[in-house]
Amino acid sequence: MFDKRKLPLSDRKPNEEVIVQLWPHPFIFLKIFLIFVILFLIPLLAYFIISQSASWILESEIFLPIAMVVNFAYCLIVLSLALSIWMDTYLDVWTITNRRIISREQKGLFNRVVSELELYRVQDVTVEQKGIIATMLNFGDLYVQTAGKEERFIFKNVGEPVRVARLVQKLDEDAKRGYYGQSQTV
Amino acid sequence: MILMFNIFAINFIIPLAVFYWAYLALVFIFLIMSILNIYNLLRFGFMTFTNLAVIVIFIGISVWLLGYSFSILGQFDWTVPVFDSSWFNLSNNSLINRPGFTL
Repeated sequence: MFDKRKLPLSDRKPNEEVIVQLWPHPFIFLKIFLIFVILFLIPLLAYFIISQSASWILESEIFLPIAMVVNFAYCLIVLSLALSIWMDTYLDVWTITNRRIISREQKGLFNRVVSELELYRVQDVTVEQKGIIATMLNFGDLYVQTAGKEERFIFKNVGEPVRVARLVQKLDEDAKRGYYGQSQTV
Repeated sequence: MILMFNIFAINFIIPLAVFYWAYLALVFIFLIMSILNIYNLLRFGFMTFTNLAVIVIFIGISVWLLGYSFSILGQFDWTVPVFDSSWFNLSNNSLINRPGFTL
């Protein structure tokens, strides 16, 4: 997913310009949405099964309230889980500027990792697209290997990973030449 | 001397309302989780249409679900016992008086 809006960086460096913001591919969000639609249909399915095979529950003054409490509790848990997973996915953002790559990853409610990498330290860029859907919809993981001892920088499930890889390589070349130009040829 | 304790001598009742209280506790946890999630989305997310739409839709569904659930659950009699120790005291035939028990 490409987004060329020039969003402000809190600690922008001199002559630094945001080239692109990357989120996971829309298919990832669609997949999450469909999973939760199915989960929300389960109470309806349960109601259908109960009304067909154990209708006495719907007339019981003890079991009906318990069943309704369980039903609403289930809906609340699924709804809360849906927002948590949405937040977890939506807050994974990768920003590429003409000087560095900034990775923001949300891991649960209270765990957030922000890391950055100067472009001149990039050594190797690898694209991995797994499966038929990723290939057809053109999304995948992008690994950026640095010269340092750090682990690889991973862009998870980004759209058009090959194009992003070429962009990173071009910006890396510019950075290594010491030229921080306005490389916006995306 | 032999001491014998008859636990059934102490009559205690567990009302159906325990499930309602458990639901209220879950609603409280749900509200806390929702506030934290929305705070994270607004604090660390971007002010995009998608982000704001998701927050508004979530709040709408939550308000509807909570309102609907309380309107449905408010119709039940929560004083009905789910457990009454006197049901096991057969000497006074209280099992027969158990709700829903018919001969």
